[in-house]
Amino acid sequence: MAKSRIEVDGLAVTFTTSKSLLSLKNVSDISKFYCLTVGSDVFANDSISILVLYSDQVWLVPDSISGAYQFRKLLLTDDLAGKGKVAQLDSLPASWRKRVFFVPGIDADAKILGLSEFKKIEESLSILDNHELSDYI
Amino acid sequence: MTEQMESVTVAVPAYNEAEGLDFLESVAAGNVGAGAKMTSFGNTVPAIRQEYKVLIEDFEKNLKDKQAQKLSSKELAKWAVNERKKIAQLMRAKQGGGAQLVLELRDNIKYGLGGRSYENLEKRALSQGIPAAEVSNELLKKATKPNAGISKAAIEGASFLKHGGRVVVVVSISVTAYTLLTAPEEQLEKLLYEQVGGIAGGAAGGGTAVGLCILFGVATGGWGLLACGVVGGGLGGYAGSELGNQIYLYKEDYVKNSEIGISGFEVYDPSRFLKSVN
Repeated sequence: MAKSRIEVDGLAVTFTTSKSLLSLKNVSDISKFYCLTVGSDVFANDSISILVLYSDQVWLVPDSISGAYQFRKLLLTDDLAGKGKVAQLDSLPASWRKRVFFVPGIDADAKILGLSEFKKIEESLSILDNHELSDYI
Repeated sequence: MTEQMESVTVAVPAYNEAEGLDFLESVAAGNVGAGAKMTSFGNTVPAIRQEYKVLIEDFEKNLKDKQAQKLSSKELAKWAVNERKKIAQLMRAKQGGGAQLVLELRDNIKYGLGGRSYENLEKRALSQGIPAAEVSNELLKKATKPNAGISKAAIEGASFLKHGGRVVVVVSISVTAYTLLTAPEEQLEKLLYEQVGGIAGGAAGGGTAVGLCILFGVATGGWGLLACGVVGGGLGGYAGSELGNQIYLYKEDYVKNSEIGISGFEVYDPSRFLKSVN
């Protein structure tokens, strides 16, 4: 199984998941993105993931994959100002989570999802308006 | 109006009727403990949240002091990472031994042996392509990022557990009371050991199961969370009851072999005393 990675080349971003699914998008295609904190630090989940919404698909990018640092920096550019929010979610849908010994753990897995998948969490997302994106990504 | 009673058949792990009843009794005892633990968990979550807030505020204050000392960014990041790790461990300990164990295991699997240590986080950051010169700043940023605190689910779940746990105690305690009140006198002591073991095991199992269910998002509130506690309490109760039984048998054996009388005083045997002196 290949390792998930995200590669930034100028404004073009290529996202490859461990199942070798590949998606190439331009930063300007991003309609919205969320910096997701799942659960809480008290309950042990200290990792964050980025949920990027395009017109036809959703990317779930864990902050631990290769290239995530460069991608995060790209999201903070002026071009995307106002499109990103910090959001908190109690738990990710089981199919979005990375498996640990075949059991869905608590961390996000790298995923390219259909737009309809976003509905699974839309209502339970708490937007943290008083938190700055730059403090997280 | 004629009332009709519905009968339900439930499979239990037992070879005969007596063993089946024993099993159900231990599950009921377990749920007395689990119910009490759930109520206490429900009452404690707001306090844990408050304590967490205080610890984070202290951390932020100390960070400012450290920044004023003009430490290098690596020294500062190291201090911040270790402090956050300590706070997380302290909060996890309040969720019960089982949940704490799983959470620490998770960190060791994710970051390597030692969990969220500075060295592990540094290694991980470098492997993610973060430039070496940026690693300390990145780790400091992560350690000092604001936190949403205890999740909404835990707060909602806490309120449900507080009230639901009491109901579980009331229902289960009636079974435990019936078991003890109808027990033949010669079996009463053994049953007491089993019931006490069951209650203790149930409290441990129920608390652990609730913590794990919230953590893994299996159930974060409502009936689902209560069911997690009841199942965990039942399993813990069964294990605790078995342990209680073993302790009783061990004690019986010890009393027989060491000739300790019912009153608790050892029967004096001069020949044994002389043997041990010689």
